[in-house]
Amino acid sequence: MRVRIDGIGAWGPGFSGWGELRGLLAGGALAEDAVTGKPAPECIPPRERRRAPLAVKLAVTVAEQACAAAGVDPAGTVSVFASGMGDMDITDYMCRTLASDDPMISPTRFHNSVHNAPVGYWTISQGAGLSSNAVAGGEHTVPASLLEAVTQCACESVPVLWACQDIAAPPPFRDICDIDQPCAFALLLQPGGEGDLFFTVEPAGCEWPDPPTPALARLYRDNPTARLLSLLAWREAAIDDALRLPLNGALSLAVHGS
Amino acid sequence: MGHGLAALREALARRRSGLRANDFPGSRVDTRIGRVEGVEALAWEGELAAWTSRNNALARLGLAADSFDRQLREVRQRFGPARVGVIIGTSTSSIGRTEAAYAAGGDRFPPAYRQRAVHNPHSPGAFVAHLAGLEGPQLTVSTACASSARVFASAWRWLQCGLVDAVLVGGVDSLCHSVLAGFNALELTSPQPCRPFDADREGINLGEAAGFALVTTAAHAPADAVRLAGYGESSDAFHMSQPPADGAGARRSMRAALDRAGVDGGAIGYVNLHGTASRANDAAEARALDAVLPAGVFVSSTKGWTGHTLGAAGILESVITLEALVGGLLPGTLNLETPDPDLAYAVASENASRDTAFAMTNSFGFGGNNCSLVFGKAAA
Repeated sequence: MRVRIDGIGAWGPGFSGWGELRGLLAGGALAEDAVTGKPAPECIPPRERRRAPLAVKLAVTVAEQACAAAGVDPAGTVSVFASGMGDMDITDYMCRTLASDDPMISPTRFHNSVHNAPVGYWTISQGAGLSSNAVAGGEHTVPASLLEAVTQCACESVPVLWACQDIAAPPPFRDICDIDQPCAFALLLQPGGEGDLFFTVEPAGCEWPDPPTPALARLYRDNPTARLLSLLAWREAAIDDALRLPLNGALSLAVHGS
Repeated sequence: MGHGLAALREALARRRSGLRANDFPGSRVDTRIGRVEGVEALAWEGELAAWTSRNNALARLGLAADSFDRQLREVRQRFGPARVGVIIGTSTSSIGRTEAAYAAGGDRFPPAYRQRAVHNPHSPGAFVAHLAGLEGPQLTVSTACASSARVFASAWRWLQCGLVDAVLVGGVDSLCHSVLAGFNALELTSPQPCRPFDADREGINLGEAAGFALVTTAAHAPADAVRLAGYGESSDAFHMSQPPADGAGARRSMRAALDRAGVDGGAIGYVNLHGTASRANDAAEARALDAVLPAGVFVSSTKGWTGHTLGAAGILESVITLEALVGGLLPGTLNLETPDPDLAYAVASENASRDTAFAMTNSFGFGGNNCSLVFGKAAA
């Protein structure tokens, strides 16, 4: 399946866009306590933006960046949004509330609890009426959701906006999940031809590639969304060998360059 | 309604509802629910213990029904486990287990609840792949109540691109406090058995279900297999929990499914509607039907039997639609007594028996997420 990456969005500790992330991937240092301010997507009206969950703001911000970089009208794209752990802040709120003496759930937070809340906000704020999907693949969310996005892009010959985010785990979740920094990425994919990226599924498992830069090694290890960094670094470095990401123990997603 | 296709057929034919007064342990919401028997009785021993959750229990019951395990074994042997994909839809995944971890532990997950593979949205996809012994690409689709209709669209594309030779698709969603309390907070739950498209409808009843299907290419499928003729996916781009009054998103997903199937609305003999019995959904869906279908098509909602099974509604209603094509029983709309005079399309209340070449099913979710599927008989 051939596709082209026409735009990139990025947000995480020490970077609030692809330009800054590129600097880090080129060997730039990350401050010890690097955090990035709050994402503020322009397409969501200010009043709603204040109430929107962080997971929504992250996904919508990087989606906006990727479409702008590609010069693409968001209303004309198909969306595939992903997250490994989903909105743990809302899960934490709901489970905490339900376990309390006053188990009344806020209706707004309830409708924001669906896994497709980020892509829902995105389609609503952009007037995007085409297909919008929300998927998950656990630790393998990035390769699994990229495969889904690339397949849709190639099979239906449509531009596909892929976006993925994972937020920091609230305290009870720390027993099962090590994410302590949020990050989000988006790619605007166009159907490709000769010379573009070529995705295949190979019948053998593989290890995750090494962290692309020491500055982001911890994020890369702990946050399933950050596994996209390996693809971005590989593409930046224009490495000849294919990049392989594990889909599960028996399969890998291989990305071949031009 | 029971386990397996025979129980489903019988309940539909006899118009026996699976809804009962809310007896979900610890819930105080005044409503009816469609609760599956036998979920709590399953034992979680050995390596299965790490997967313990109500949702995964439902998945186990679903995979054990109708000799499905034998069909899975055949598919594994024929294509090899890495050539069979897994795409499962869910809305709430195993959040019921997360609720229990919070109730038991306060600020920590007690040791028995420290299940990394369970407390995340991919729990059903990963568990079903594990249980079915499949090693192809796996994905969980979670687009609220459209989730397990969309799995067919993704499977179509995976097969089209040659990623796999077959796909195990399905949906699993289980009752939990989050949805009972959440829909109650939205004032969408009905204290009475839900009455889709009735003038006096008061809202939805929640249910739970698991369902599965094996999808493969025409070249590999048995000659008498029902075909997935087309799919349509769209977004309302309107509101997180309200459809636009004209049902524009629903109209677009139905049109796209018909276009892909290469048929017009007149070819459709039966539509299993989303028909949740919420005032807004039913009115908007009827407007969309009026725009897409000629008058007089047999359309109905089976939510009066099952309740709204959320992320499992797509697969459950696809199975009912397939049954209608194969067996000829078109279920009407249970509890529909006085059709809402303001609806733009007439909805059938009584069951009918009819040979049908093409049938459609609609699934619409929060976030304005829509999916329509058109299935066709083999000979069509």
